[in-house]
Amino acid sequence: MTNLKKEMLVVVGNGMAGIACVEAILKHNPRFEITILSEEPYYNYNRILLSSVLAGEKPLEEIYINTQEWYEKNNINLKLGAKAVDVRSDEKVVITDSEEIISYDKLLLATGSDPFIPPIEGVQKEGVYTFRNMVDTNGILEYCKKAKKAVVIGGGLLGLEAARGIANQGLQVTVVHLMDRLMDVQLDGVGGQFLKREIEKLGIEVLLNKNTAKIMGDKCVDGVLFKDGSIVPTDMVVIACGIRPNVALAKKAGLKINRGIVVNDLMETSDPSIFAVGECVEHNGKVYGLVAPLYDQGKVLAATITGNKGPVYAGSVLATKLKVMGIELFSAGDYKDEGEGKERVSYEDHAFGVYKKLMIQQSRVTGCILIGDTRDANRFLEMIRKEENVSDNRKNLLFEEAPAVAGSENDVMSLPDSETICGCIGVSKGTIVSSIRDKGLNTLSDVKKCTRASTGCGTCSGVVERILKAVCGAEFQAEKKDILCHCVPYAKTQLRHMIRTQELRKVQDILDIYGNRTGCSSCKPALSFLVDEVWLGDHKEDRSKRFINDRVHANIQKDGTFSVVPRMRGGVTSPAELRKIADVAEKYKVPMVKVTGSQRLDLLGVKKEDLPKIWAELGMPSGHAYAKAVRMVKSCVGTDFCRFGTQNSIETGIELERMFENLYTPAKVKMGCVGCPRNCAEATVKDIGLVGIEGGWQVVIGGAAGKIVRAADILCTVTTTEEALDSAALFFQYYRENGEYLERTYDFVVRVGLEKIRYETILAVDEIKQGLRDRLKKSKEHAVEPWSVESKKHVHPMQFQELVLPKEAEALILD
Amino acid sequence: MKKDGIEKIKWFKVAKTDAIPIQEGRRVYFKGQEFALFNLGNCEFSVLDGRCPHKQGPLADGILAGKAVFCPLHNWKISLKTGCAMTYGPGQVKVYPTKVAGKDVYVAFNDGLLCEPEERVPVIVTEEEDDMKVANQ
Repeated sequence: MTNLKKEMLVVVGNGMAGIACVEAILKHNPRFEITILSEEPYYNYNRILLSSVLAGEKPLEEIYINTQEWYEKNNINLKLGAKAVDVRSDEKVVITDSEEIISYDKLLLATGSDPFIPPIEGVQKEGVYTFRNMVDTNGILEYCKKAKKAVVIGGGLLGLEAARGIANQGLQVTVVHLMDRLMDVQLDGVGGQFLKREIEKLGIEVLLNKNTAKIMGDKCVDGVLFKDGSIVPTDMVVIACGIRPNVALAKKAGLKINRGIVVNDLMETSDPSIFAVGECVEHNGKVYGLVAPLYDQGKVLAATITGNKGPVYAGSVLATKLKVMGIELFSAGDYKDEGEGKERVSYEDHAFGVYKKLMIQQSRVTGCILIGDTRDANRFLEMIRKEENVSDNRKNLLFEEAPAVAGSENDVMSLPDSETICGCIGVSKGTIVSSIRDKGLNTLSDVKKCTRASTGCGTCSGVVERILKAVCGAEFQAEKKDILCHCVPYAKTQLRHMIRTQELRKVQDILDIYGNRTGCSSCKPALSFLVDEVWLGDHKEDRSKRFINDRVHANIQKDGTFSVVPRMRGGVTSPAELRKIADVAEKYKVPMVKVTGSQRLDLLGVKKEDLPKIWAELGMPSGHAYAKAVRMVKSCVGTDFCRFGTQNSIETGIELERMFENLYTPAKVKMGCVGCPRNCAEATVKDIGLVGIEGGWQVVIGGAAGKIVRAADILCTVTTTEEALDSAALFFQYYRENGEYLERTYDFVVRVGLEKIRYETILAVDEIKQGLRDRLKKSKEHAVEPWSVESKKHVHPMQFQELVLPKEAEALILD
Repeated sequence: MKKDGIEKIKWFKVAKTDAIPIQEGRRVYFKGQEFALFNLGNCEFSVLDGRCPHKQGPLADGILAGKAVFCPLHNWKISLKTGCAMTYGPGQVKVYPTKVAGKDVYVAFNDGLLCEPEERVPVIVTEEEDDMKVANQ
């Protein structure tokens, strides 16, 4: 049998669809000798993630799907940089641009598509790019370095992703779109308005109904002229006006072509030796430009081409997710309002930017649009795919009833094995289930590692986890950081979102609706923090859900007494303050007065009922030494007295403390400010530190000197004190919004990554920075200094009181 | 106090029903002893010995979770029904009968019970809860 010559399979195209199909073919009998022609000189990469590369969210090297080893291991003859220019189907040969002649038994065309470039004058000028492949992306990134302004022509999916990416590179971006709304293929008029607002919030300008007439400039671009006569000056232009199936080769092969290469349900073309898959294909009149349908096609084609004819491709429901950080958008099926017998179910919240719409026809959901909250995307997509009758469920269509905590896994198990769970990588439910069973996986990260599901855009991780739970049962192990608590089994980020979109302002409501009602000492304080952080004081706090320290604004000690640490900004005090502290300590017989490691004075052993009296008599603000909040800024004497000082660390340290004091944070935040790199106040092992250097400041973050010792990372080096304080503020607010409860900055910085933090704070576009500053300002306006308020007015008459019964209390005998 | 040969329970009036915020506890001092009184809401109250069997943390300052309280010092979970430690452990405190009559809460301080532990449900203490314990210290 070894002499039997294998059939030659030649694949034209090394993209996602082609390679996914080859992977599927390899799973059948290895009967082919495979040659792949790749016009692009790169191994197979995830094209979807190019927008993440452009946005600086992922490095280039992380988007490769297959490495050299994969090609070698599967004996694939990969010809990088080889463009197929002709096919002679009668001789069964492919000819490359270097005139190499390659014969085939079976030919697979996966030529994908080309960007559509409208007939505009000037598109060949320097600084004009399309956004389709690795070369484009690198070119744009390189050009961004010398440009200040960019125009993106085309307000579709790709155009918006490009715009966000370029904005992240620090350019001022304008999106111009021919139609009256963004993403007009996927959105209705209302959705278009919602999206426009969201895009504008990112600091990107949107111009609609703009027909580009000409790209202006001599050699390089310097502006764009529109048919209405207006001009937008710019340094670069990105054309993202859609894609066209690349059918040039198919034409030469004499295949039947309409918009794309016509295939039947078995993915066969009009030539029995030639097959096609991906964006270049037209099936049943439809051309697909999204990855999930292409994977479905690949699986069918793999069966057909290996002689296992049987599975058919029945077409796909078109579904789109926009991958722009900070915007959630999903659109699927027929979302249009017009048409007979169509009903519309919708929800609009303009303030929160949430828009949900379902279109229903004959009791079946036919399409949907979700903006601002896409958690239900898969649920709706399934309804559309299955053409489920929803008449019994009309009440809860848009907002599902809270799932019974234990039963919620079962719905995923009713999905067919063929169901694609991860659209980016193309992993089916069956694959996930069998990996879990065969390899004994029990954590989400193991499943990610083994199946690669949920390693692309990551939006399917919830579903993958539900499958894991259902298959594993008791063996299931939650990712430590993933869910808040067993009482409320949702991811922390998801909870934040639920609190916001469903306007949950009470911890008990969250526990009643989504949890086990009772909660525990872990989740109650965490939920209190989340509610507080989302509503910024626009809610009524429930003290019973807080840890005792936060109920009485003091730190509980081992004997049940409390400690009182007044705020001394920068560690600076005065004789008058010291006198007051001494008087109070004597009057209330405080057992110990101690200097803390944070340059403060600690009164230890205070009775709960004495707390408000002591605060009133001290007349000093709370040092928050008991809370997940801003603790203090330590400082050294700096230029005021020190002969080595290069910066005024006392004044700056006090200013830093004033900016952030009274604010709550995911975990405690300790800060330091030193006047020179000798670091006397240990700023480089603080959550946030300012280190004075000759002619400026270093702003450092994520340091620690506790259970863990970690030197802080340098966020940036700046020349003025204003810039140093502003950079610290940007990071501080970013951490408040993105840190998980109890996650200290030293874990946060490692988890998120310093580069990403930089891009989303100090290097972000002005509008993003201003957003962080504005929200910090709003929090600050709502923040109160608790001691001065609650020493006068207690949240409950018994806030600080215990019950003391007289010795001679009479007993009653009741029936 | 005997009446018809049966020991009658002595009820001591401790507080008004609205004295303690719902879902919070307060320490109660009586005849040199400390107790913890919890307002569970819906006119339901619960009383335990005041200090945790582990390291004498004041249970009244703990966070409630259904019919249990978490000690504020080291996060031991104590059942309000039996007084038994439900995590970490072993350990137990007395539980005192309570009743509400009119707008007053009564406690039978002389009739503290050392209950049979409930069937001990194995509670998995996650690493995170351990972290929590450390974080709250």
